[in-house]
Amino acid sequence: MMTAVIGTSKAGHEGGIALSFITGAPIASVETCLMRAHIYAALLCLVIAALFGTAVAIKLVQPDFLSGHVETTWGSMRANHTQGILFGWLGNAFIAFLYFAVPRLAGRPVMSQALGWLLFVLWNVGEVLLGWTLVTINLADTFWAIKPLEWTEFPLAVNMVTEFCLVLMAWQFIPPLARKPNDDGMYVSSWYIIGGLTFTLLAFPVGSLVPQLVPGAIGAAFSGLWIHDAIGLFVTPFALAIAFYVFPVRTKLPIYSHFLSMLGFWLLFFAYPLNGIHHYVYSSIPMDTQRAAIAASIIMGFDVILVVFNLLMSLRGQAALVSRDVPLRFVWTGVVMYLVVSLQGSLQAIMPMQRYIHFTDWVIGHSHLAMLGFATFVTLGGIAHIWERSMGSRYHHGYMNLAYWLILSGLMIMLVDLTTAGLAQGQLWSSGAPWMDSVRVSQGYWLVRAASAAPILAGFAVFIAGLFAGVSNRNTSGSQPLPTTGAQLAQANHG
Amino acid sequence: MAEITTTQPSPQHWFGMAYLLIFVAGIGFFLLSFIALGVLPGLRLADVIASHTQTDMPDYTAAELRGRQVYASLGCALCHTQQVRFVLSDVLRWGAPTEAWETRYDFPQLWGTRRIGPDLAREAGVRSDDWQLTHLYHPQSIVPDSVMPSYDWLFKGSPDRPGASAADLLAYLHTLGRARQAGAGKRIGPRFDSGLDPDMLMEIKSLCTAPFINANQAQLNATTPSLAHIAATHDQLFARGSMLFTQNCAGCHGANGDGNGLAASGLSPRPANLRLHQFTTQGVVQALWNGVPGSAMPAWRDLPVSDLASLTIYVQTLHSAPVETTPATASVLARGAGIYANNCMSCHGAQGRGNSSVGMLLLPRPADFTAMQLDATQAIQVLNTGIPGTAMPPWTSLSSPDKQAVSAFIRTLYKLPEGQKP
Repeated sequence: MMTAVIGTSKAGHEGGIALSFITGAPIASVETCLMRAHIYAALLCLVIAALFGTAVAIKLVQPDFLSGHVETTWGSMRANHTQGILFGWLGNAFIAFLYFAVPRLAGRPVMSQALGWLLFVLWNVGEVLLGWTLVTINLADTFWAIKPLEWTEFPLAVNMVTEFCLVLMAWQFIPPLARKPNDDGMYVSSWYIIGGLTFTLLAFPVGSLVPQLVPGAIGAAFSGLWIHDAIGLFVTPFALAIAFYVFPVRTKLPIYSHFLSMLGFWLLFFAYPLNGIHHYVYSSIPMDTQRAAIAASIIMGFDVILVVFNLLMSLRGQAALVSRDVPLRFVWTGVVMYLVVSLQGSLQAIMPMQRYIHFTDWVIGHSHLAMLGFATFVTLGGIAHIWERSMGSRYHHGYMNLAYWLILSGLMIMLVDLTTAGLAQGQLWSSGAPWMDSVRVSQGYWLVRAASAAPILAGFAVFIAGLFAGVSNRNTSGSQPLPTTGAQLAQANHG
Repeated sequence: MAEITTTQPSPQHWFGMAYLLIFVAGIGFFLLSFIALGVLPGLRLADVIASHTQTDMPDYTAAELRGRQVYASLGCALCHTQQVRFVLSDVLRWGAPTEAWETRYDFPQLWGTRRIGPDLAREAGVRSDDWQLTHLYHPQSIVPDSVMPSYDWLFKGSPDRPGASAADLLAYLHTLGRARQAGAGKRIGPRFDSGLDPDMLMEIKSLCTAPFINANQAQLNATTPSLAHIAATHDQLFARGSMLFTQNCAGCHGANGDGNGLAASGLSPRPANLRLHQFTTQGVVQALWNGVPGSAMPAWRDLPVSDLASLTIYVQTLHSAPVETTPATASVLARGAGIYANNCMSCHGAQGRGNSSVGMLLLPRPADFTAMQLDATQAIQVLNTGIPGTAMPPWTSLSSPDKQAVSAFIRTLYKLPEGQKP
């Protein structure tokens, strides 16, 4: 029995039992209102944060656009873009997914509805809204001022709310998953959820506070850790939890290899946190630390090959389904992008590449491939999935399909454009040409990048429309569904 | 597994797997990265910092700290790094790599991870205050192709009236690289392995032993390159010069060279009027290559020498003042020479080269009349009003005929080199 509970039950993998929430066992009650509230908040934040990003992109082409006011200056709007995407969009979307998935994975409900509403209000009002407001009005006091630290630009006051929210999240979602018994043992999605919640709880305050307390180069090492942990130990585990959840549910097939799931998970949590200093290669941080981070970045690339191989092998023979089933296609695309962005990350961590592309738009392309290509694609697929499997309404297939192609084409234009721009900038910088030459060369690329916002924004709008344009099966008795067929009933309650 | 599902859940028991996830993946691997990539390099860096003397590295003043906060909160670090990497192209452009001891007062660090504008770690002393303030007020007025946003709300309506935040920000810009330029940071402790490729390290070290001056920093008494080997034709140079002038010069000197560009109103002394006055080739080359110390005119040593030649040709063709029809008589010139000797010579020198012992103490240097021929009307205007922002006072004591005489005299000091067309 002990071997089963420490994770070798292989439920959901080839050779193991099927996950009970797929096979139709009764599932624990789901906080549907909370889940919906977080979905709405996530989509609203996605649109707002994407508009911030678009404004910033336009400003690079037309510096006078919205200029002349501290409220709309480039630096503030960029901080609102990145923090809005990280916390407003992905944070809310992940929480929504947890409300859907944790009762199914754990076989028991989340801890408390009241705690859930407290988390919802604090996350959206105390963190995202307060953060955006403080960044916009730009106060001077250290506690309330924008921090010049990447991925934690919100002021310290907001960081305290965020940390409290992370504690609430851990308490809401970890105990249901971690308590036994659970019919399926612990499925791989649960590993990523527990690991990600615990790690972020510790890494976020370190990245946000320590660089304020220790100076310059010493603080930069800690900044480097959080720059990477925000993506690697907050965004990635939840996105992978969604992928490992959505694939077997939608294909009704087990995950390819339990061994690879284990190996991929442990290697990710070991190697990913050690990547951080690769943001400061050729700096005055000790060179052996830089080398360790570069080595970990290479290991990371190999690990992602394992993880993605495992996920894609789980889709063997399902090409027709992937192309037909839009949520599955969103997640599949995100997983493929995860491989591309990680191999790109390993490549750009090595020193000859760093020398050339560091500080250029190549890196901006890379970060959009990670946050939009990987995380957002997986999460949009996850949201479409939980939207469909929850009561109330179905998504509109045509709209979703259109949204997929719009966002994908916008992302591809931006990625190719920024990558090329980065190479051009790196070439000019190392040639010794006057600095402004690199700015003049970039302007054409920045115009294309700003234009690429149009299909992406349109895609988001169509996606949101698609959620509401589908067939509604909401009945008059309240928010509970009244499926008309057995198949719909099974689909509505499971997976 | 089956028997478990039939029993009542006992919530106090946790999976063994959950312990592993929480304590190994979540906490253990966090601590590993925290110690290996945060604490240990931090201790090493503290040793490195302690191994350098920094007695002459002052902490930030209150105003500089406020300026630093403005810099941080406006997001300057999102486009301007403050970290010259141990990479040749960085060192060639900005000077010695940023070392840990230089960042000892930086809470939090402002290294940055993106360069849209240039690195600012060595910005102190490179540009004049006028230039910095005008650039903050409206960057495109002084750098036409810049994509930097305007920070005009930090000013009271014009670039020469900075508000408190802009003044603080300027004070902070003066600190960037200041300690390094003052020669602080001599190593007293053991040497730490930087671990770089030895060839590259050697090359960087040899670059750093030579005194480094930013390519845009104006300097006095510096040499200029020869334009003799430029093979391009006059027309080619003119066409290229025209484009370069629009890109680099028009912001201050105006699109037509009349010294009334968008940035001109914030600059003191004002940009030269390139239409009225005439310049020798060497005069233009000197001003372009080495800048005009004491004014907002930076140096343009980052341009290739062929571009220097192009700009020189173009600037010289801007001169469009009417040709004088009646040369001054000998008696007027003699009178002018006398007035010059009594009033002007102490600064402008006996030959009008602007290099008298007093003149050498002034910034900007007094005009060199052998390299620049003033427009006659403009010269009298200068005598009437002086040149604000320089040591040139108004000469109210001189009568109008005296002014005309001395103006005629200094114009004769202009020496065209052999073979150069007027």
